[in-house]
Amino acid sequence: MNEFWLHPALVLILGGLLLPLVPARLRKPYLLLIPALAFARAMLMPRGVFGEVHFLEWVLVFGRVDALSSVFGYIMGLMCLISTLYALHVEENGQHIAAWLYAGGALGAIYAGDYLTLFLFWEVMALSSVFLVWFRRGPESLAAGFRYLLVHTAGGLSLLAGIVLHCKAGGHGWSFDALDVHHPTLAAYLILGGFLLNAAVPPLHAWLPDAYGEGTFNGSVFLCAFTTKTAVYALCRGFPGMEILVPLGVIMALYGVVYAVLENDCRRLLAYHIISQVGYMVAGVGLGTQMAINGACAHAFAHILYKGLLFMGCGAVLHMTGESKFTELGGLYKKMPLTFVFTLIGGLSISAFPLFSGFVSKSMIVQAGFDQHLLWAGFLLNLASVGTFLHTGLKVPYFIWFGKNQCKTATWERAAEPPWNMNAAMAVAAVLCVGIGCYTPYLYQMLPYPVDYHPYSSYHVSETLQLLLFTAVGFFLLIKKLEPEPTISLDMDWFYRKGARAFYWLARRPLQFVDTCVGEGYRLAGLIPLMFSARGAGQFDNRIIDGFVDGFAGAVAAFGRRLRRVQRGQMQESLSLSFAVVALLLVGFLIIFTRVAR
Amino acid sequence: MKLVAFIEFLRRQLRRVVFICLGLLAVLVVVDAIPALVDKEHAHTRLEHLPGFWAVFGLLGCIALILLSKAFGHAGIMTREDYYDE
Amino acid sequence: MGEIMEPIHDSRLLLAVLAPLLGAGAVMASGKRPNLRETISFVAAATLFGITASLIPDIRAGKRLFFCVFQLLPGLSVSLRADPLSMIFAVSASFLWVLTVFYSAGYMRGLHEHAQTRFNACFALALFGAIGCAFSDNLLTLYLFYEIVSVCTYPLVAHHQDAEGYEGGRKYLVYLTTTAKGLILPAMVAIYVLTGNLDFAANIRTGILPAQAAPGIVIALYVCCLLGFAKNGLMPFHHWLPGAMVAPTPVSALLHAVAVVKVGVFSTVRVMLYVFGVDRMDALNLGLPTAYFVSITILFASVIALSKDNLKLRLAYSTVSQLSYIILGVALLKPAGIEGGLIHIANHAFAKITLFFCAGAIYVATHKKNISEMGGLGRAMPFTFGAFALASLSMIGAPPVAGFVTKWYLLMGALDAGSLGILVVLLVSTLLNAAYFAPVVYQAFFGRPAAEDARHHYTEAHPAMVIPLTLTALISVLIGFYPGFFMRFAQAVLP
Repeated sequence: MNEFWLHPALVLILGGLLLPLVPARLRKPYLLLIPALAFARAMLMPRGVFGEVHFLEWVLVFGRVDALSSVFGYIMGLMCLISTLYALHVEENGQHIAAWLYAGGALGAIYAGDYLTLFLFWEVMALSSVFLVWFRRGPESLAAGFRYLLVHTAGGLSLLAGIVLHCKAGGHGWSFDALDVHHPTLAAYLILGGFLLNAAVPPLHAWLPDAYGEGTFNGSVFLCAFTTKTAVYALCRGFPGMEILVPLGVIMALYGVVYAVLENDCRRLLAYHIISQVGYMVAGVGLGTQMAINGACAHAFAHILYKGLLFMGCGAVLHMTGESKFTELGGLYKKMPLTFVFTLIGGLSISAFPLFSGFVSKSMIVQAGFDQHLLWAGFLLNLASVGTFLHTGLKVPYFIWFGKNQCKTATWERAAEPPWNMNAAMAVAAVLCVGIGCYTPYLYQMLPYPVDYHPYSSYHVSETLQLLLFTAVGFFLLIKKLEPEPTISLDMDWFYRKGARAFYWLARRPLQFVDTCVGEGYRLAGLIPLMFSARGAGQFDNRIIDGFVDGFAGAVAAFGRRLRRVQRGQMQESLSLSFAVVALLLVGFLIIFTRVAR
Repeated sequence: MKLVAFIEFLRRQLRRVVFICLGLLAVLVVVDAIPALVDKEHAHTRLEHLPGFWAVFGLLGCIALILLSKAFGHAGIMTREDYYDE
Repeated sequence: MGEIMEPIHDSRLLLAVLAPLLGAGAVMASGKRPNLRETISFVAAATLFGITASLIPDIRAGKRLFFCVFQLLPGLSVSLRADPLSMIFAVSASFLWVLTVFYSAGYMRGLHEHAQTRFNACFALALFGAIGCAFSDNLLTLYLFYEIVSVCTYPLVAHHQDAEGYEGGRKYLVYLTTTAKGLILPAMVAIYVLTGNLDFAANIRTGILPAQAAPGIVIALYVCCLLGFAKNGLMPFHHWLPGAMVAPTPVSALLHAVAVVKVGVFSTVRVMLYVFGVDRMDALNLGLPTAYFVSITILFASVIALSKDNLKLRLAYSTVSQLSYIILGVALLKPAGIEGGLIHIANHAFAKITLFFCAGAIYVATHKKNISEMGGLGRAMPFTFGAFALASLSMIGAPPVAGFVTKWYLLMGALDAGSLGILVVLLVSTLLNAAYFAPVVYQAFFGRPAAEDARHHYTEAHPAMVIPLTLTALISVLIGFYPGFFMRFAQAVLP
């Protein structure tokens, strides 16, 4: 394939780099045009393998377009457009450029056909998304971004190590396809580790709440969509049917739910929720059947939309009031009712309420679990659904928009409906959430395998309604227990935050001390003996040689005085001339001698 | 602000709203017991055939989650907000 | 790269070496006229680069050039050669000198530095030594030019002529000359005694030592050479490098990218490959132990870099760490490793010079030396810090910037050599690189400005400084996308 193939990521990356040059009047249309073009490209691309580039001795494949990559590419392009609309009023170009580079990186990874391209875009994603955290410029943002960067670098290194080992082992080649999940090699485990870190599988998950809670109000909308779902795609592609992913996924689903109960910051709660929902997807990949993979893809599709919607809602609250903690909010329904409705729609979607998108996607995975007779997985995932509705469908809307009004006066004054573009973006996402739930073929025909699943059976509807509505009963019964407390929860990041502090102390004190000692050692070993011998040589020079030379010089001076009486002026010239002649003769003699001696 | 007015209206009628909701929930459980309306032939376990199984699962699950999570949290995971500051 | 062609006599090698020497003389003569002085420096640099570039097609075609300057004794001569290895160093060094001429003009004038004539002349003399090293045909020539570099850069290090300057200069000279005279000279004599000449081999396999030489002696000579070329920054003889940071920044840029450290590493690699040879090192099992030994430097230096707040010191320790990558790659004795190590000579040169150029630009514009004071400067100096960010990516080894190619080849080489431990060392050091470069970038762009900065209105430094650093940053990215230029030379080194 030698003709130029337009990668949707290229549209975003180039569009971002050219943004500073766009005149102010055209800026807003431009901001909408570029993601729209990228999305259109992703939607309309024909299937096949494109974009092969020769680099040193390898062939890189940039465009592997098949059903699996298309469904992810579609939703990511769409989400990029919606999120840019949400952030349309942000003046700082850097934020848009970083966001587009990030989305472009995700698209690049989705369509990558070989490991090197995958790694390239993996790193582009990590390096650009960290800026979305740093742009917040809060007191914690710099440190949170730095931790995020280091954790992702480590994950990328695990991936790189696995890729290098895998390519070295040869035979399988270079292209990014399913690995042998029944006999995983060290290389496979290392690659899996890299994917799991990006998917935020415990214990490698602590970066997610840490960073996503600290991102800008618009940056977090981007953040929640891309990194984890690219990792889910990578797992679908590389490790379908790997059994260990099922228990990992189920544990993830419950882990996120438990921490979400304890969380005081609404965006951190949503971040823990991502962990919970991705757990479903990971479990789906682990189950490996066609329905399970379909479920994982469908769930990822729907999740990007409703999680984006939720982050948009809470982001709007953050943007308008400046607060995101439950202990600082409450009773906002009077000021921001529309945001409340959108967030509620998002919450109902994520909980898999009938008529919403989660209902037609999440349950595919649970059903696949039951079909495989993994009853424990099925029931535990349903329990996680209970938890999901508890927080996202009930706790978040209730404690922000209803409940006790704990807003400070300043907060209350500031609160109002967000600007039109944010509402429009949320509306689009909400309509899609409902639309997908009601009209299933829209989503189902994009899925990689043929779909033989009918979500709207009477049993399924009854089961879901009972599950969720009685959860609501439980919520209202125990509402006192769920009152928010102004605390933080310790998580796995405790280990590396404390560990890093210890490491820095080690670098600053003992190691630096050792290095300084070694450095000063030159005095002892080199300089002092040198000085000593120099002094000795100086003495020698002073007494003996100088004495000799002075004596000799004295003799010459006396001689010269006598000669001067003989002749003036010309003596100097003729003396110098004769000395010069003698010198030349000597040099010439030496050269000839060495040539002859050879 | 029709939306706000609507919410305020519901809040004023809170008792009636709660009553209606509880009524709907009872209907839901009853409907679940009627095989003609709810076809349970795809259920995988015998337990699920019990009417209102999922309702109980949801309620107990919710309560268990809240209580266990809070216990876990108060056991030391939850701590003051400035824990990491030097 | 099959046939080894007969070396062809070419006087361009002598011209290349003389160009900076004559340039130095002319600079001294131009005395008090600054514009003439800079012009002469530029002409000398451009001439050197032109001559070096003219050699590229010949070397690419597989020819080997040589030139004998004079012969002292049988087997001892001062002579020059051009082969792919020397081209990697010579091309990057001469190109970067051209850019450094502009940069140092901007820097020295911006700070109204004294003794600029002496500065420029010594600069040219240092390049004379560096190019001489690059084109050395035997160990004696190499040693000669190595010492010339040491001596000619001393006035540059001690330029400020204050207590700090003299201290740094003293440490510099003691470290470099002691190791050279104490370790290299005896080794050189011993090798002459063993072999009868000091010429480098024609390829990297055989080396020049006789087959029947006692292993113990060969190992001892090897260790002497490895540690003796202290300009390669191996611990424990690395301390001259942070000590030399007292010099003006164009000197640091020159030292750390172009002349001094690359002379050290180049000499080490030249001796490893062309005096000892891959086969001999393999037979005596010197490869992996060397790799592990330099790994200590890589890791230790990276950790210490974490603790330094002074930007130039942090960059100095980063250099110590990165130089050992080159030695590590060659020490793996596998084709992939050797290629990776050799192209790192060029990749590191471009990235590191960018970083130092940025440090100097920051100092000229704001008089700040410490990272903790640089909060928020990125807004005022976007090009400078943008270039810094790009060059850091190359150091970290992120694709698609140049450092990634190095890293990939080194990893492959480590696996070829069967060492997972080296793999781990490379990966951990990458993480450490990210840990000490990222704070500079985020402090600059997102950090809080210091209170007193509100009074100053900082802007970018003079274009004479900003343009070179932008160029080198862009080249770092370019040779990441198109590594072929230097890779062809690296591959040509392999038999």
